[in-house]
Amino acid sequence: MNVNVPASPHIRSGASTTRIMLDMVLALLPSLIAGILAFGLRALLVTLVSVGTAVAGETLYCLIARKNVSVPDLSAVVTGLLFAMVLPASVPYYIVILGVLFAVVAVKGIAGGLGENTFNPALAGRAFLMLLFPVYLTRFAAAGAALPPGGFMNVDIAASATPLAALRAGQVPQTGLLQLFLWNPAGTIGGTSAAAILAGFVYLLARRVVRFRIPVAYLGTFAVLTFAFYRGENPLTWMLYSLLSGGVLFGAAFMASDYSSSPVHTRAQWLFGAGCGILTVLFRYSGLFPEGVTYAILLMNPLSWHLDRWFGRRTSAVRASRKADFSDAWKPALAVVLAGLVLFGAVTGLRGIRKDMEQAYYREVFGRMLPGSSTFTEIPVEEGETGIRKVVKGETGYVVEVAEPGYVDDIVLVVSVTNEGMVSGLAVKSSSETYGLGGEAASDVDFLGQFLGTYGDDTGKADALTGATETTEAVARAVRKAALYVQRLTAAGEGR
Amino acid sequence: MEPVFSGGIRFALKKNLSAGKIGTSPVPETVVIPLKQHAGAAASPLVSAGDTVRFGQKIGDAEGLSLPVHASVSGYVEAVEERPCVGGSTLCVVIRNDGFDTPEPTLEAYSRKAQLTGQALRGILRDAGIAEMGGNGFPAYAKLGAVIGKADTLIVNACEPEPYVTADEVLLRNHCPEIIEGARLIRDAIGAVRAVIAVSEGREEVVKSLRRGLKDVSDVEAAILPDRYPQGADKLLVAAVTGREVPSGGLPMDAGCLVFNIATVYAITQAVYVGLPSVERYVSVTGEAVRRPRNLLVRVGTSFADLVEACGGLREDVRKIVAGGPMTGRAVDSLAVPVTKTTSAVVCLLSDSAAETARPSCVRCGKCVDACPVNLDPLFLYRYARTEDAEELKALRLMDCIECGACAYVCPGKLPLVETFRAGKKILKEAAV
Repeated sequence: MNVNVPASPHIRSGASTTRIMLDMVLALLPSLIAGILAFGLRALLVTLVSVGTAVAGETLYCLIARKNVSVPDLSAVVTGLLFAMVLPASVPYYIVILGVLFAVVAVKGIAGGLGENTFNPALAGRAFLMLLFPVYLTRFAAAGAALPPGGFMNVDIAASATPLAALRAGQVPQTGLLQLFLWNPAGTIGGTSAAAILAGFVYLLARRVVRFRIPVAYLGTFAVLTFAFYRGENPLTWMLYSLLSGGVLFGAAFMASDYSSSPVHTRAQWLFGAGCGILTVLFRYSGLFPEGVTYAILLMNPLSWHLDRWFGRRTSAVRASRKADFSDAWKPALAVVLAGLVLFGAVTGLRGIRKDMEQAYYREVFGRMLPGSSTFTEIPVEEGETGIRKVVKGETGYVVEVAEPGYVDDIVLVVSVTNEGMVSGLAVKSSSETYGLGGEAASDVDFLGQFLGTYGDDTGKADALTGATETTEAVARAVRKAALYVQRLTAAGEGR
Repeated sequence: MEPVFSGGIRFALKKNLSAGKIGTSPVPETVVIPLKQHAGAAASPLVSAGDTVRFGQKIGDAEGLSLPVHASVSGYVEAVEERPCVGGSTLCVVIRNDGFDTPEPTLEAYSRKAQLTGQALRGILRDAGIAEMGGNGFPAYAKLGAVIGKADTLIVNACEPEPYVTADEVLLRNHCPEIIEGARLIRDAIGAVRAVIAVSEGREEVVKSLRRGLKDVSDVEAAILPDRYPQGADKLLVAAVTGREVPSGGLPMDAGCLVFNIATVYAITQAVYVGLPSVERYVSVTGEAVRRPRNLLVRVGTSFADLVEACGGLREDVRKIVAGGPMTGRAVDSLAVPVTKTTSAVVCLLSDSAAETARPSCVRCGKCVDACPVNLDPLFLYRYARTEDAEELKALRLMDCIECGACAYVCPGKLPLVETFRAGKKILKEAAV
């Protein structure tokens, strides 16, 4: 008789980690298929590279660290899939490999493996890449643009604006809402179709793999805040566009509810989701990048454990009564305060240095644009001026930074104007104009040179760049605006 | 009916394998009677090899919190020695059965109209060697003695939330009048005002039997409780029946209740009205690996092998044999072990769904938190038990764990949760000393 004699219980449900991970893979399939349909073969290859590297990386790590190889539980496959889903299809493959290795080895493996990681591995991998290669992660190919399947180190694409970029500029995107919900191939691989994301999420709910609280709290808070702090004309439109653009749906459905980096108790889960929502809106409105989902979730991740401790402790065996226990709340609070002090000290300490560096920069660059000036001081922009971002006064004139809407996005010019009102220098600070459609404005010396020596009055007759009437007109308007602004300033100053 | 506790699990009960089926009691050639079948001190043997014993004769006893042990057959003592038992080797009295059941009048049989005081009943329970038959074998006299004049409610626990096991159902279906009488007897003896018989709503036949039995009875109530594991646990039972809460670390008596398993109540009626000490009980012999699953009225000391034999034998591909229900029982590796006062079932399984995995791992899915019927956090307890952090274990109320196994049942990572918690409780007890 060959019988087992372990401790009770002697029966278990059929639930297994592998089955859960398989459910995750199935839930991500609709989004993956949408991504492949939208971006072609390259999307599939990026995903395969990501999954393959995740599996290989985890195997190697387990072998080196002398742990049981955890690949059969499929968790590395899920990490690889999730990671690929939050990348644009145009990323070079070596970046994919770097990012996913960081995710499975540094974030998950070294933390102790499955279930031990504080941070969501896929998002941490993405954040890692955002720091090293922000350009590759924030440029998106135009809808329908053919992406080359090759390109290990680099991929040439014509970048195009996403609906999220429009929101960032405070505008409601051109794409229709229904279109955005069903098919929006202008972003990450996994963000192609909100409908596909929802289908996967409903599957996870039905299979009881995830609970609804974190995603619902996340999206609910996000919706309320975007509704309250809307831009444009209609709060509802703004809210819906905000929900459907970028990665917030994908993040709420598949990332925020990740087991190991989120809390397990009811109230802690509500708060966790709400925190993700608040931070996402904050980062979207005032962050460095257009999207804030990655950093919002990553910031909430380390709070999971504490949220569970504070709001999850149940005091009674029978009743659902809970006692919030903040006895150790001082630890993270202290950490936040200390981090704040360090940052504040650094900012204050660096302010002086920054001023010196600023002056040096001004002398170097502005001195050439405004001959005869050597000290520069920033003066406030008069109220009611649109487009004038910054004015710096020198002895012989002013340097004005001016922004003007171009064909794609704002073109930002730095224009120097003498006290006599003459344009003496001109540089393009930033331009998103596409190559062949005004993109060369920044480097075309003949084109820019024609504005020098003018008084901003005859810029309407400027020689246009070939095929870029709108860009030309935008630059001309900007130069004219800068010249007129300075002429008004000097007139006021001399009492003319 | 909505459960009054959060969590718990519903699963396929598989009770129909053995429900309502009663087989012929096996007549063992020898019985092996452990001297420790109860919580507390082991009994010391009162007989030695070569002695002749009668049916019902006291063959072991001890002072303090303990219980006497009685011969379950008549015959002669072959040996007093260590034998493999459920939970390890134990000193046993081995009796060769002469088949006559020559009785020894150990106990006085009372008339059904007799009124007993609490102290009188307590004395009978001790002399009859009655242990709590549904759980850990705590001496029934001690349980009863502690609540005389202090409890207002007696709860007869007939919920039996474990899958497969139907021995308690047999008692309700076939001995309902005795159970009701027993409930009255105990209620009056301890000075309680309510007597409640609690059953699970999922067992229709049982509910019907109880309703029929209580049709003309006004002083004993029925409580039909939700079909959810582990409704039969004392704390949850008290909450469901009385709405009162057993305080953390407390007992049902702290909420004014006395809870007895139905098999214990039956044994009490047998002792009081028949004069029979605790020498037999109903055992479910069931599971997919048993050819003809049945309930048997079995003498204490009968080997599992005799039980299985009486039920058509085992299939070759049996994978696991459990003494008691599969959620809380103990696995055994030999059929030589004997039935004790607390053996409610012998469950023989073909597949081992709880087989250990190579690498149990916690993914922090939180399913255990949802499943825990007593509001504990198994996933955090598991971590702290592994790091032996007594302070955290205490703060997270590990001692309230009823070891029902619900968390381990749902765990996708197949963590050895219950085992770890038992070890954690030991750490807490040592820390308290």
